[in-house]
Amino acid sequence: MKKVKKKGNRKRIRKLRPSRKLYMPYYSMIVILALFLIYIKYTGRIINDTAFNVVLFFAIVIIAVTEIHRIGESYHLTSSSVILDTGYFGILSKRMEFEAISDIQILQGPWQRLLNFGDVQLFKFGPGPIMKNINRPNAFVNELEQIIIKAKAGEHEEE
Amino acid sequence: MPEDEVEAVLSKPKRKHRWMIMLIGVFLFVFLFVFYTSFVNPNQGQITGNVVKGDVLGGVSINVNLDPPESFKIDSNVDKFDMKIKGAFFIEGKKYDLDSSSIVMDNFNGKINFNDEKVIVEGKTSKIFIEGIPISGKLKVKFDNEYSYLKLGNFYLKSLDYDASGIVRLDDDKVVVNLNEERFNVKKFYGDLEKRGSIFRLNGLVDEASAGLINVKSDDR
Repeated sequence: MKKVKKKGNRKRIRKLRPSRKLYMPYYSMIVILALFLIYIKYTGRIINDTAFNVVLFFAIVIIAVTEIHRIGESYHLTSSSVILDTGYFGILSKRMEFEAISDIQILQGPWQRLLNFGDVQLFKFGPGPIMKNINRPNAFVNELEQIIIKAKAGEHEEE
Repeated sequence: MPEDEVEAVLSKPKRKHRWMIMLIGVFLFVFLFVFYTSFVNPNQGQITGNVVKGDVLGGVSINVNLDPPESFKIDSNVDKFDMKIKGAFFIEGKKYDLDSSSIVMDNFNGKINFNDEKVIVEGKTSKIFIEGIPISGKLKVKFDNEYSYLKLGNFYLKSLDYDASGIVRLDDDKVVVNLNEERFNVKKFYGDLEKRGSIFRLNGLVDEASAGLINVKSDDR
């Protein structure tokens, strides 16, 4: 049974962040460098101390920057609305009530389709906010639809 | 506003692509740096100080003849590794059971650990001569034997520190120190080592050396 946090009379159902699959090109750079170092070691060549430290620094910076970028956006599903928070110190929070949502659209480029993540755009009879780089967007939209249906029917109960 | 003046709307440059191009540039730089220091100029690669094989960029020449340390351990590339050992040893998992063997290895890479009596070697080599008979290829070697002498040609030693007795000659014999159970310390050594009985010789270049109260740094020269 899921724990449900109460915030006022709204229950937070789920919190999402952009998928790490977005950063695959960056992670692949680290993997290429790591494999190259392994190859050098395997062939019995010398790995420069400085070069090793540079690779290590590069990897740490990439991981740190991607994680910081990732925590800059978060999406919350509550029992009655979707909240999109953007920012680090100052936060821009967009709230969209389920009653106001008329359509949901999934946007996926070729790279996103390959890795099964994409943007989910909410419509309020016109283009609304975009939840970027959601992992498995189709499954998420199905889940969101179910929540919206329950909310609109007033059936959503505390688990 | 004159009639022929046209109002243009400039679109914002795509900053995301600019960052990506910069990152790819940094990645290529790191990759090529690793490639250069491992394949093109590997000797510069290992030594981060001032000492470079073959020439000196501020390194201090060192020549020592001391009593040996209790134990000695390195994990490094050795251009030429020469030793005379007793007993059986393994090459590519195959046991060579000889009473006494003269072994020479070219381009050895791995661990060497020795004390006064035994030498333990584990690593790879591109060529090995056993009593003058060559075996080529990428060979895994393993020794755990008694030895009568060891010679390591052109290897890198990060540091060595022990109380020693003997003679230390630094900076082309400009500094000669006679140690008597006094501290001997070298940092970033590149050169040759010989160990034969109670003789322990180092000959090469060093980034920093201390012998007793004398301390010589390549940066100070």
